[in-house]
Parts: sequence; structure tokens; C-alpha cells
Amino acid sequence: MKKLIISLMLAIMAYGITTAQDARNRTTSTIIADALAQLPAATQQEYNHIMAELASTGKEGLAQIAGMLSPSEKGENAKVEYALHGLTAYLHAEGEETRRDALRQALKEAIDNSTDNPNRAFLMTLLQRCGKAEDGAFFAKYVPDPYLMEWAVNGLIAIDGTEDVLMGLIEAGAPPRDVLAYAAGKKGLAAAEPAILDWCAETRGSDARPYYKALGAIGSKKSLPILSKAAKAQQYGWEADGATEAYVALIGRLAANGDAKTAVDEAKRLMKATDKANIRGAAMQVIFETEGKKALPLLVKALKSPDRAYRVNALRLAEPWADEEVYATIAKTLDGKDNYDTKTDIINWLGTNHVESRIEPIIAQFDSPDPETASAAFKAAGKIGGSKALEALCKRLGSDKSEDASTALLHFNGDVSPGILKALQGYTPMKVAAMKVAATRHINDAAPKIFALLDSEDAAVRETALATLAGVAGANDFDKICTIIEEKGTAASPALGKALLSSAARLPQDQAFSKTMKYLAASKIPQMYYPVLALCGTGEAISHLHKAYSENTGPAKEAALQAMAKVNDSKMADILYEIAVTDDRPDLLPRYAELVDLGGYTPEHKYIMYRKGLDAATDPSAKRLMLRGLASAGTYQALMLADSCQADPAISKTAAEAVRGIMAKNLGTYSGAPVREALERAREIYKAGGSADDGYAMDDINGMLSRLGSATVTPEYQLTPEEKAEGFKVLFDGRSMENFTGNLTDYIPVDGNIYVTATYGNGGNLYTKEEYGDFIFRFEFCFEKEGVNNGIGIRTPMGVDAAYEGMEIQVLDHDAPIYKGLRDYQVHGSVYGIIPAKRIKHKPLGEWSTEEIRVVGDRITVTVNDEVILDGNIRKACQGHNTAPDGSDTNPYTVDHLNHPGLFNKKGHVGFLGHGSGIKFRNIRIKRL
Amino acid sequence: MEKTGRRTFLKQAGLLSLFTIVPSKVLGGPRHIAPSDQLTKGIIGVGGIGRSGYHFNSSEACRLVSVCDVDSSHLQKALDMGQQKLNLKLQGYHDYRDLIHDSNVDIVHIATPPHWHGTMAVEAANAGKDIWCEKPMTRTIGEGKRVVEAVKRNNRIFRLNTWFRFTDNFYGLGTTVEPLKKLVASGLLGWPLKVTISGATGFAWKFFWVGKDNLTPEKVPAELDYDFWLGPAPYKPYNSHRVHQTFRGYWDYDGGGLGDMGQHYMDPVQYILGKDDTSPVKVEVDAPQQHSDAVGTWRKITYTYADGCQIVLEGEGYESGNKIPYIEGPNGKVFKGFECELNGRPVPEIMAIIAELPDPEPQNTDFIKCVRNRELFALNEMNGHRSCTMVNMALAALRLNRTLEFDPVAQRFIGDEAADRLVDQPMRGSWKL
Repeated sequence: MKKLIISLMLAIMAYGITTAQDARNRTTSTIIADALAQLPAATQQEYNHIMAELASTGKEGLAQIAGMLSPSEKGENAKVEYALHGLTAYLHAEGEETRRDALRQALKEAIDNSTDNPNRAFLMTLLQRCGKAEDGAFFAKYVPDPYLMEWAVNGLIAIDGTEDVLMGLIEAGAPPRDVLAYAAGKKGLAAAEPAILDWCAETRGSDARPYYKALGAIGSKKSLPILSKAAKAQQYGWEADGATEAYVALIGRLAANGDAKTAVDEAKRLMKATDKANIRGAAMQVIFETEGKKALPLLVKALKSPDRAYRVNALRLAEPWADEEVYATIAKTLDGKDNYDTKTDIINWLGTNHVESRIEPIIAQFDSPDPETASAAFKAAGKIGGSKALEALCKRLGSDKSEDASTALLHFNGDVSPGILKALQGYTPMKVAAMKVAATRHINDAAPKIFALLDSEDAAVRETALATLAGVAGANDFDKICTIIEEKGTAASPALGKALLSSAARLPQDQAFSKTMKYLAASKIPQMYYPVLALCGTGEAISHLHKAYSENTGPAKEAALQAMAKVNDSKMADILYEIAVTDDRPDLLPRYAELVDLGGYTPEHKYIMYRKGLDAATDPSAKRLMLRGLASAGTYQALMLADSCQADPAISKTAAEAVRGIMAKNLGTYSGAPVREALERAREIYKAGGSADDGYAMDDINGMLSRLGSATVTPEYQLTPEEKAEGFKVLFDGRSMENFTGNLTDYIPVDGNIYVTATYGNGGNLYTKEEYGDFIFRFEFCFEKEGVNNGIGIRTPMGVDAAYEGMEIQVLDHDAPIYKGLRDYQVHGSVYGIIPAKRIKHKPLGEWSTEEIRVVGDRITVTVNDEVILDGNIRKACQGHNTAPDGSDTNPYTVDHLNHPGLFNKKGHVGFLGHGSGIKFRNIRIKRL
Repeated sequence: MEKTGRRTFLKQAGLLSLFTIVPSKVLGGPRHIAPSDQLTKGIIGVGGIGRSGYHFNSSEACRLVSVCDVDSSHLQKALDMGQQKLNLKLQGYHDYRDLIHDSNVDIVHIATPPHWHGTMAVEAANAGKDIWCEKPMTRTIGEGKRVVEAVKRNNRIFRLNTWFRFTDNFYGLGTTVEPLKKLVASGLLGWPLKVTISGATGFAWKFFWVGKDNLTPEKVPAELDYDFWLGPAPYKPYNSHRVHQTFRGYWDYDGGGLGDMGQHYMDPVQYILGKDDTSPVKVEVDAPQQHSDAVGTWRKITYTYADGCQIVLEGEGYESGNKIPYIEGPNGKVFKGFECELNGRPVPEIMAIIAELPDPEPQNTDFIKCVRNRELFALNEMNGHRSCTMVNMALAALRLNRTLEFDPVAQRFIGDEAADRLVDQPMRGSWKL
């Protein structure tokens, strides 16, 4: 594992030492290549590690990365882009100022050195993000460049403190003037006004837009004449030169900068000069915001305007300074002869602002001849609330405005019960409307009155009283309702049943049950009480219902069944299922599915229950419910069952959704041919669907298929008869990790291989449990992504850097472009830092290679794909000096000039020195010699 | 003739108004719509969404008169559709400024990719048009602020087009948001609340909206004005994956599934929690590293408000395995399908309880009526900007791959200059706001 120990690196960083080589003597290129191979980082932690590591390479390293961009049209830069974009974000956090400077320098050098415009633009975007004031001159240099001008000027805009540079460019009067003018406007560069005024004078038509815009943003009084003239020439309309907007903006700016008088005068002039509502409104905004309440006369006048946009705008603009006096003045308009639309606007405004003090004139508008005005008044009264509004609204219950009044009472700001109780005493239509509100809001205090009205002489009142009883019934009304039920029998039963249920719901469960049982026992119509038993839902209640179902016939039997179906307890699932099957009641199955879902069952149990449901279901809609349930169970069996349903055209779409849904959550877990085929079938079903969403689903499934492991079953690896005879022992049989120890979290057996899932810098290495001296170690490896780095530790202790405390036989995808600068002793198969191996060309990603490492005394032989790539003597390679003879850190005898204190270990563990994910190993066996 | 007649009349009425009071009924009342009083609209961007039936329609109250697209094949399709489906001869435009300038257009409907929304909305407001804008409202927080200012300055009526705060069943809830709004306002769930927007609670994030890295330049199709399509976005060599149906996968134009669905899902939550005039103070992300150009996926995004309320987004494939509440407070929980628990006990009769609670204040949900009466639409530029800020906050955190703190009043990030530079991002050429 040729990577720096993170803690050590952090320690170095803390002391501000940057070095081209790390403690492991990795070159900058290797550090970069190692890090790039890990990108894009999967987690934030990993990201922080990799970025810290890249940043530690200092300016030299950062420049190297920035220089790694290949011609943009080849489309090969993703890794480098991840690195640079990541570094820009990472180093632009608080506390990273020093290293950010190195990055800025590196970016600038790379921009200067590159000739590829899209790459340069990309690098400039990054510099825009992390640049500082002193980069102003750098950006200024590129302002004349036709391709990079955009990025250059935007850099000046984005970065604070570049005003002087920008001013210098403007004073020089160099092109592109329009772009510089925009920049001056964006940066609020007031000093640019004289120059821009000059430029403006030389320009005509829509070309003047940038200058107008800039003057609107940064101008002073001096810019007023030119902008007001230009705006007037456009009749204050919207034109491509943007004169009107700039003029309006400048007036606003003058107001904001304290020149109130000029601004207000100009705004008033503008208001007189145009009839355009939006422009007059903008001028009014300046006046209102500048003058505050002083502008009240203008507001009053505005309300007389026939232009609704103008009126409403005036009202809205007055909100910040409106007080009781303003409200009083405005509300007076409601008494006048002004048109109804104006009144509607004022009422809406008073309502939105919850002006309680003006409720009376609003109430007066309840009777407006204009329906919209009246309706607005009701709505506003409800929003505002208060006792006067309540009284007035209740008074309208039962009138021709009853509906408006009821709606307002339902969203009324406050408690409506006092008003409703009073209205219940009113004339018949008022009573009827009041009962409905009482029921909707469950005003229990209204119950005695409504009980009394059950006996009203007026049929309409009786009917409404019965219908609204459930809405007001409370816990104390239970006995009363039961008595009425027994008296009136089935005649009025549905509404009474509802009332009974509503009352029971407010009783403690045990009381509801005991009372119900008491009445039920004596009742001629026991089925009236079944829903209450369902609500109680206790074991006793359920068994009573079950009994009633078994022993009764006709309506009573059905009522018991319907009550049982209502019980909100997953225990009912089995009971309902039983009835559905034995008594042929498939209509119960949807409720069964619902109960299973509610039940909190384990996935395995859920699977069994939905499978049963699917067997029993006859119509497609019930089958679909079961399939959706299966999808939520998510087990492998559920997947297979859903797959089998894909063949049934009536439910195939839902089955495909289930297959897709299950796999979306279990992609890492379920694999093999049946899974692949299930997904392929689902894809076909979506394909036949043909809608846009079906298309997305197909893309989704294609993505899953590409990530699905190809192995079907996990075979147990067995030695060939020859190896067996030779005395090899299997270390990894495709399943068990029993011969290994160490990092068993990141090295996991999947589909017969050891997958390395290690995240960078975490977790540690994997070791054989036993130690070995002389041996032949055989295995196969497969790179799954470019630039993988691993290593085989031999004769090494655990938990140390094997390359030095033992030996490391390099495992590296050295063909990856990121390893361009690799030293010969770092290529695949080398005894790291001691003996270089012959450089081979690796097989394509995803293909397996064989390797043998033979270790006999001082002789190491490495064979890859039957080719011997290293055969050397470690003692000879360093002339017997595995450490420096003078005791220093520099050993002239090793090729990496470092000490290898463990090189001559007699024995040790064999280790996998993981350096990130993307590699797998299999068929690992060893023979002691 | 009719069109110009109406315009001339309005203009004269306006001038007249300086001296006399014209009763508004002269301008037509709500009960009868004279042709001269019909509102009109023009659609900018007639690709996927702009040509969908929800937008590409015409009614007595609001007639479609013009369409605009920088892709001439899209434009032609729209013109043909106008003829065939609506029997209308539509005016076609290539340059949206011509549509905005068209005095026959009252309402400008912006259905372009999001990188254009801010610029077009500001220009339309400056031109005195009312605006219907597709979500997400703007691509940056800064552009959203400009839109809010311009709409206010020009006193325009603005509708941000997502609708779940006032109509339609809200995905996993299985009901409209109104009952939940009532329940939350009643205090029965307690405070602060945590909302989880996840596959587990019935909300899917569309992760197929991811971009591709290593794009190679391609030839720009003849029908597409690519430079104009890019507009304020930085120039990058053309690749067909950047435009049309797949643009959401690139930071320059949108923000992936979060850009597409974020405002749909989070705007109602802002409303439910009563946060329409504020924003969270913190956003945390758990995601793989993002590419500089292509939008990737994420696992989890967590927003925290100053009062401790939280919104958690769980990415597709990273949803909680167990049943988790959609909304959870100290005293109660609401699950997918509006299953409810109060004080630790299931409450199957929750809908009955909610029915008894006072209704929320009425909202203005008829856009045409809002335009006529100059009333604020339920989802307007102000609350729309706040819910879009949720999306844009998280996009900034994803791009920087770190937790960000936000000042909801100043609408800037706190102590993170890099994040702050994403509030206002560079705009190209003359498309600067």
C-alpha cells in the first residue's frame, strides 16, 4: 500500500510544510495519480481525504494537475475536472487561504500555458470561484481575448476588490466597452459614470443598452438628463435599449442614496408623463418609499384611478407605513360613491392586513349590490375575526348570502361557537345553516339544542338535526343516542349510527365497550352497535363480531362482516383472509392487503401474506394491490413472485413496477441470472408502454442491468488435482474469509470473489491468519476501474507499512494515464522500492489475470499470465544493505533510497494492501515450501 | 382589427383617466367577457412542457396568441398544433423579446429551461406583462431576488407554477395539503417539526436527470440557435445531451432531479410550516462528489430552520427502510397516506378531527382572476422565491460538498465565500441582471 499515512500527512500540513515527496517517498505524480484513481469520491469523508492529499502536493502538484487537461474535444478530462473542481471548492473554505493561493497560482499558470479555449474557460471559471483581488490584473489581461473575454470580465465582477483594475480598463477606453460598462454597473463602480456618459453620447439605438443599464445602476444626478431623454423617446415603453428601466432604476438609486428631493421630483414628473401602469407604479414606489405616510394624499388620489393595477399597487406600497389613521382614511372610501372594483380592492387589502378597527365598514359591504364586493367583504371579515365580525356573519346564516357567511365562518379567525349557539335560536333557515357549521366544527355545546331539534315540527329542521348530530355528539351523549336508536328503530338508523360512533370515539375504550354490550344485549337491532365494537377493536369485541357473523344470516351477518373489516388491527388480516377464501368473499382482499401493510410484519412474513393474497385474488385490481405489497416486502422471493406475474398481461405493468422497485433497493444484494431475466422482462413491459415515464423506467432498468453482478451462483473454488497433489492449500474458496484477519469490512466475498470496497485511507489491510516463510502464492486479480492500486504484502507483520516492515509486491493498473510519471520500481509486480519488474500491458478492465509469487530465501519470482516478470534476489538488489550503513534515513543501496528494515524478515503474513476500491481477487491458494 | 382596437381603447382610457373617472365596468366585468376584454398569453419555450396540454391551451378567459422558441422545429410544431388543436393562427417568434414586446400579449408564460427564467421574468415585468413561470423559479438565489424586485417595481402579477399548496393530492400524503396545514396549525403535533421527503414517504427524486462527463463536441443541428439557447449560461461546445430533454443534468441550466422536483415537493412544506417569508439557516448534504459541469446524485439533504424545524430529503435508493413519518413533531406523526399517530397512539379518525379544525385563510388560486383584480396569486414571486431558494441552497452545498449556513434575511451564506459566489453567478454577454 503505497500511500501516505493520513495522520502523518495531516501532521505535516499542520506545520505548513509542503513537500514534493511524502513520507513514503511517493513522488508528486504518484500522489496525484493515486488520488485521481479514487475520483469521484463516493462520500464526503473520502472527498475530504483525497482533496487534502492533492492539496498537500503544493503549487508544484496543483500546477501538474491543472496541466493534465487533454484537448477538450477528446472528452477525456472528467477525472482531472473532478480533481480541480473539487480542489477549488475544498480550498475555498474558511481556513484554507494559504493553500488556496497555491491553487490560484497553479490555475493562472495553466491558463497561460494552455491553448485549448474550452479548457482555459473551465480553468477561468474555477479561478472566478476562488480568485482574490490580486487576480484582477490577470483577468484584465484576458479582457481583449475574444473567446475568454466573457470569463475575464465575469471574473472581475465576481471577485471583490477588483474595482481599480476595472476602472483602469474603463479609463483606457479600450474595447469591449459594452462589456466593461456592464461590469461597472454590476460592481457599482460610481467612478465610471463620466466615461460611460461619454461612451453613451457616441452610441445610438439598442447598442446603448449596456451604457443605459450601467448608468441606471451607478449613475448620479448627472445621468438623469440622458436617461430621461432616452426613456421619453421610447414613450416610457419597453424597448431593446432598456432606457426606461435604466431611468426608473436611476430614480430609485437616487432615492436610496439620500437625494430624496431629486428622486421624488423626478418620479412625480414621470407619473405625469406616462399612462403606463407599471412605470407609474414604479415611480409611485419611489415616492411612497421615500416619503412614507406623507404620501397619503397620493394614495387617496390613486384610489380614484380607474386603473386597477395602479390602485392595487398604491395600496400594497402603503402597507409598510399604514397605521390606524391611514386605515381610517382609506376605509372612508367604502362609504363613498366610488366604483365597486375600488371597494373590492380596499376590502381585500384590509382583510389581508387583518385591520380589525375597520370591520364595520367591511360588514356594511355584506349587502353590497355588487356580488364580488360583497363576497370580498365576507372573506375579509372571516380573515379579520373578532366578535363584531362573528355576529354579523352569523346573522347572515340562512340569508341569501348564507353560503358566503358559512365559508367565512369555517376559516374564521377565532372561536365561532358563541355566534353559532346564538344562531341556533334563530329562524328556520338560520338554524339549519348554523347546525351545519356546528357539525363541521364539532361544537359539542350545540348538542343539547340539536337533540331538542330532532323533535322539531319543521321537517327540514328535523332532517338537518339528525344529519348533524354525529358532528356535535360528545362522550356524554352516548346513552341518549342509544335510547333514541331503540325508540326509533331502523327508520333513522344510518345517521344515528354515525352519531353513536362519533360519541363512542370520544369515550374511553373500556366504557364504550361495556356500554355497547349492555345495549346490544337488549336490542332488537343489534347490528346498529357492531360498528362501535369494530371501533373498540379489542379481542372480546372481535370475537363477538365473529360470532355474530357465524350465527346470523342476512343483513345482520353482513353488518358483522363489514364491522370486522373496519377493525383497525392487523390481527384481522388472517380472519378476513379466512372468510374471503372459505366464504368466497374476494371483495375482502383489498382490505386484507391494507391490513398487512399496516401490520408491521417482517419482510418475510409480509411476503407470505401477500403471496396468499395473490393466490386468492380473482380480479386484477386486487392482484395489483398484492403486487404493490410484495414490492414493499422486497425479499428475493417477492422479487421472483413479482417476476412470475409479469407474464399476466392484466397485471404485468404493476408486476414490472414491483420488480423495478425491489431491485432499486437491493441492487447490491440480489444478482444472478433469474434477477437479470426478471429485469429484462420488466424492461420489455415498460417498452411496450411507450410513455415518457416508461422511457425513464427503461433507462433506470438499463442502469441496474449494467451494475448487476454477472455471476449466477457462488461456486466453491476447488484446487485442481495437480495443485492438490502438490500440496497447495486454498486460502479463499469464494465464500469464507476464515483464513483471513484484519480489515474484513472492506474486503468482502461477493459472487465468489473478494471485492475490495475500501475507501481511501480507512479500514486497514487484510492479512492471512497464518505466517509464511518460503512459499508459492497463487491468485487471480481483475481491475474494475482505471488506475487501481493495491499490493501483496509478504513476510510482513500486521498493521504496519508492509513495503518497509516486510516486502510488497506491487499490484497496480500502471497503464492508466494518471500513472504517466511512474518510477520503474513502482510498476506492477515490482518488489516495491527494491527490484523493478518487467513492465507488462494489463488485460482490459473486467478481465481476469493470473499471478504467482514465489518466495524462496532471498529469491523472489513473480509470474503474471504465465510470463515471468520478475526474478531477482533481494539481498543482491541492495548489496546486503536493507538499511543505511550510517544509520541515516537515506539508503544509497536501495532503488528508492529508503531503509527497508523488514526486507530480510524470515517469515510473516501475506497481506492485501488495499488502496481503494475497484479490484477483486479470487482463487487464492498457497503452498508452503 | 379587434386586437388593436382593444389596445387603442385601453391606451385612450388610460390617458383619459388623468382627467376623469371611468367606471371600471366600461373595461368589462367578471361575469361577461367581451372579446375585447379577453386576456391573452404568449408562451416562451415550446419544447416538452410548453407544448403540453396543461400549458398549450386557450380559453374564453385567456387566449393563446403567440409562441416563441429558439429551435425552429419546436416552433413549427407549436404553430401547427395551434392550427390543428386550437384552430388558432398563432404568431411565432424566435426572439423572446419580440414576444414580450408584442402588445397583443398580456401574460408571458415562461416555459424555458431554468437558466432563462430570471432574465425573461425581469424583462417581461419591465415590459408591463404579467407572468406565469415554470418551476424551478430561478437557477440562482440572486436571480430570484432580481425577479422579486422587478415584479414589485412594475406591480405585476406573477404565478410560479407548482400547485400542490392549493390543489391536487400531494404525492405520498394521498390528500391535498390543506388537512396537514390545519393539523400543523392546530399545534397537535407539537413543535418543532421534521418533514421527510423520501420514497419511503411517497416522494421520488428523479435521479435519471443526471448529466454526463467527458462530453465531446457535436455539430449544432441546423434548427437550433444554440447561442441563443445558452443565453446567460456560459458558452460550452454543443453536445445534444446538454439541451432539450436532458438539460436538467447540467449545473449551467438546472440542478437535476432536485431542480425538477424540489420546488414541487418543498414549496407546500414551506406553506405548511408557515415559512413563506423565510428560509432555513443550514443545509447539510450527503452525496458523492459532484462534477464541475454534470449534475450527479445524492443520498441525503437536510435543512434546518432557526426554530429547529427540519426538512430531510432522502435520495432514490437511499430511503429509510423502515416506516418513517412524513411529518413528525414531539406529540405526533403523520405517515404516508395520512396515517396519523398522536401521543404515541394511532388515530384512524384523524380526518374527522382535522375536519373540525378551522380552515386556513383562503388563497387566491384563480390566476386569471388575480390578473384581472390585481390580487396576489397564492404562489407568487415572493413565496415562490423562498421555496426556490431551498433548491438553490442545496445545489450550492452539493457543488461544494459541505454543510452551509444561510442568513434568511440577507439571503447570503454565512462564513463561506465560495458558497456566496454561487448566490450570484456570472451571466453571459448582455444577459446580465
